[in-house]
Amino acid sequence: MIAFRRRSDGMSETLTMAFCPPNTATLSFDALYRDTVADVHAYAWSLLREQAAAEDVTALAFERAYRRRARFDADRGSARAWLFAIARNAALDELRRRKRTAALSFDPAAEPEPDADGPDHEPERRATVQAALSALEPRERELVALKFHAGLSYAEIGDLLGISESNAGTKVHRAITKLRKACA
Amino acid sequence: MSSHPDPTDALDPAAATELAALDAALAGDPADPEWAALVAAVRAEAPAPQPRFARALDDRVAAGFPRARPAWLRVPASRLLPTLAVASTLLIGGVVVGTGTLGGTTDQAFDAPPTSAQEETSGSTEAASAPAEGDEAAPVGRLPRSSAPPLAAPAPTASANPGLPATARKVERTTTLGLTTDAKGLQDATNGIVRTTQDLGGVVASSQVDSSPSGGEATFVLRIPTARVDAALERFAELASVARLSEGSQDITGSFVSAQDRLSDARAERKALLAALGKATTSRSIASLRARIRGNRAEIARVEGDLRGLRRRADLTRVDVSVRARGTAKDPDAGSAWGPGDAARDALRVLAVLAGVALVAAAVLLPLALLGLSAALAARVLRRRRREAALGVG
Repeated sequence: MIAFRRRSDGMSETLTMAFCPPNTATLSFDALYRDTVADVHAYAWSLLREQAAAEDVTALAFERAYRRRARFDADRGSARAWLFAIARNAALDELRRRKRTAALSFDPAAEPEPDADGPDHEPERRATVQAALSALEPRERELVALKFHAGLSYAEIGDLLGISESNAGTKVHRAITKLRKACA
Repeated sequence: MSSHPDPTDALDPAAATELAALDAALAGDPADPEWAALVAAVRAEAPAPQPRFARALDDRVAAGFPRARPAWLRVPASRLLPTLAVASTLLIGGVVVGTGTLGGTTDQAFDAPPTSAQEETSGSTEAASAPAEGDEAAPVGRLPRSSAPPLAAPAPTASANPGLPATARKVERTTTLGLTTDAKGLQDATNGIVRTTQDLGGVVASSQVDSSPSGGEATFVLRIPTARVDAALERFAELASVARLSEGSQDITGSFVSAQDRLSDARAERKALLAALGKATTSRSIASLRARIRGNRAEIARVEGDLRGLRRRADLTRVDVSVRARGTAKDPDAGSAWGPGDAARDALRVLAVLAGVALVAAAVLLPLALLGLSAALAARVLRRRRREAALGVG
């Protein structure tokens, strides 16, 4: 039995996934889906900046994960990291297919509508964050998405990108620093 | 996905502290308001899934992501199963036929019918339809010669046909016949072989009969007039089941003509020597001529013997006959009914053929599999690079 932390609603919650003996894990797919669907969608939206494309990629990622769930190996990482690796590939495939790498550049028209119930200073704050994100390189924006939406550890990000954990931490820190400076 | 630890890119303490604060904020720890505000702002950037999409995806997850089956899979099982059954039957039938063919070649050579040129030289032709010893024998009374090369017409010989020219073909033929019978029929078969041989003007050159309560075996070397060999074989086939029939022939015309020439020369020399003897006047020359005439006479006798031997080889066909009674130790199952032992042997043979087919298939498929694996790995690397390239342009 293993546990991983859920953070999609900002609350710390422990979900339990049942696993058989090593390397023959039986993934509790429903639990994984309920826990991560919003985060996968947010991550996909961050890469694609388009609602319909984000939904397509989200659905595709979960379908691929469902079909490959028997191949999931808990010894090689968490279910969440495994799922986001699938989602990342699906999102990048979508980018390639549409020849829309430019979609990673910031498009204000694609931004969600401001929350009317938010504080008075929220629209200004959101605009600042949007501008700060748009100033980041695409790979830096992906690092931000992997950290803020996917909630992956630096080791998991390193595995996903094929770099070391410390290198992943350095890159994430560099992106966050640029983001903070832009927001200041 | 594998990380590659690199000691040179270790995180500096200040960065580690900030990342720890970020992790705390991401985990919902409100200790640092600035980090919490940044996390909230970035997360608020991404919209939530549309309710309609969320419901549709929930339904698909609940249904296990059903997907349309390919057209060929939509065929009802009631139609698919008979098709698969027929295909399986054909496959098994092919394997069994292949097994029988391969098994036959191990016991008996299937030579093509010989050409005339082949027959003129030394050659042995086995009846293609004759089963090998140990296999099922032809029924009693039938020679398995439907597809066998027909026996050459009896070679005319000078003695049998004095009017033919001296250059008529002289062919020596040999025949090997294997018979099987039951233990009780061995004695009758051996008696019948001897009687038939004598009736047809042949002789039994040698014979050996070994009998035991469980069976027995008899072997004969017969000399049968060539013109009557076919009749003899037909009558032998009525005595027992024919398990094997092999026929061979060798052209001995060259040897025969050579002997004839030598005989003519020797006779001409004798004539000349006699003429010279009549004209000889001295005792010394007379003695010398008489000595040469004696040598000439011996030479003529020797060549005439050779000619008789050659004529005999052409006129009489050597027929080797073996009669094997069922249940003998050498061939315990020859001619017996198909039983569990045969079934086990057949099963092993089928398995051997299947193993051979699998080996050949592996020999073909393994390189293809390696190529496919290499291509798949290359495609994977290429796909990964292209994916990364999708992020490289901003």
